[in-house]
Amino acid sequence: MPDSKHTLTPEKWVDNQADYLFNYAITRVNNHEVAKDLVQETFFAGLKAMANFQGKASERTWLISILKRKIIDYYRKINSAKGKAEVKMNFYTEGEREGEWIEERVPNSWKGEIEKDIENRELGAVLERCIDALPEKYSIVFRMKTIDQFETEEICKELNITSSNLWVIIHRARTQLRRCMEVNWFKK
Amino acid sequence: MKINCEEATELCTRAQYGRLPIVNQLKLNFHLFMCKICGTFSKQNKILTKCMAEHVKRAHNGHAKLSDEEKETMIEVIKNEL
Repeated sequence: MPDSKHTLTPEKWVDNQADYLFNYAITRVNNHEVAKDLVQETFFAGLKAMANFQGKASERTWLISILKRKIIDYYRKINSAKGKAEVKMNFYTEGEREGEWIEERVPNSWKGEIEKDIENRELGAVLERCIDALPEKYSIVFRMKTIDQFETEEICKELNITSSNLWVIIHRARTQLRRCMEVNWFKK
Repeated sequence: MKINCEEATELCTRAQYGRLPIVNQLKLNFHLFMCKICGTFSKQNKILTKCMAEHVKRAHNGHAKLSDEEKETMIEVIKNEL
């Protein structure tokens, strides 16, 4: 047997893989309990699917692919529970001057050493809070596109939305995030 | 060739996820050249992209951990299934 073939060692999953999977999950769902459950479900599904493991990918890669599917299912669940309610958010005036900025929404220039700030761990925490403050549907689509880097078509299929709808949501999410980061971080 | 601020900022968002079709890129550049407000928005939208990338990278290197009790429970569950 060539030793390039990967094997599964489920008795060591918790020791070797749990924290990695947990980090992966919590980055995407930002909730300790939910992330823990997703990891647990991944191990469960992994045990059931062991016979399908062909040893082509590493154990970790294989588990991550199961976890990804679990995360999509989770997104789908909250997405459908929330219905298709649209939150109206206007950043631009309507009517005669349609498409122009509303005065209080105009971006201010950001202060501070921005390049350094990006590396700051605390900025990450503020960013996470801002993503959480988005309407749930926005945060799901934004996470799928930006963090999971799913293809647009895949997100549309999973969440049953059109691609122009997806871009409107992403854009509103980013517009709101920009504003949130301005108020909570870059104002100083 | 002319687009309004709403269209321009949406193009700017799309550009954060990949290259725009050339016509749209030209429309956007033209708008940004004329409109300072959208220019600021565009700059900050790019910074947001960098912040997200850095945040995800850091999160994957991971400081979040499951507690020992949570792990114990998982080990039990797996044992029962094996």
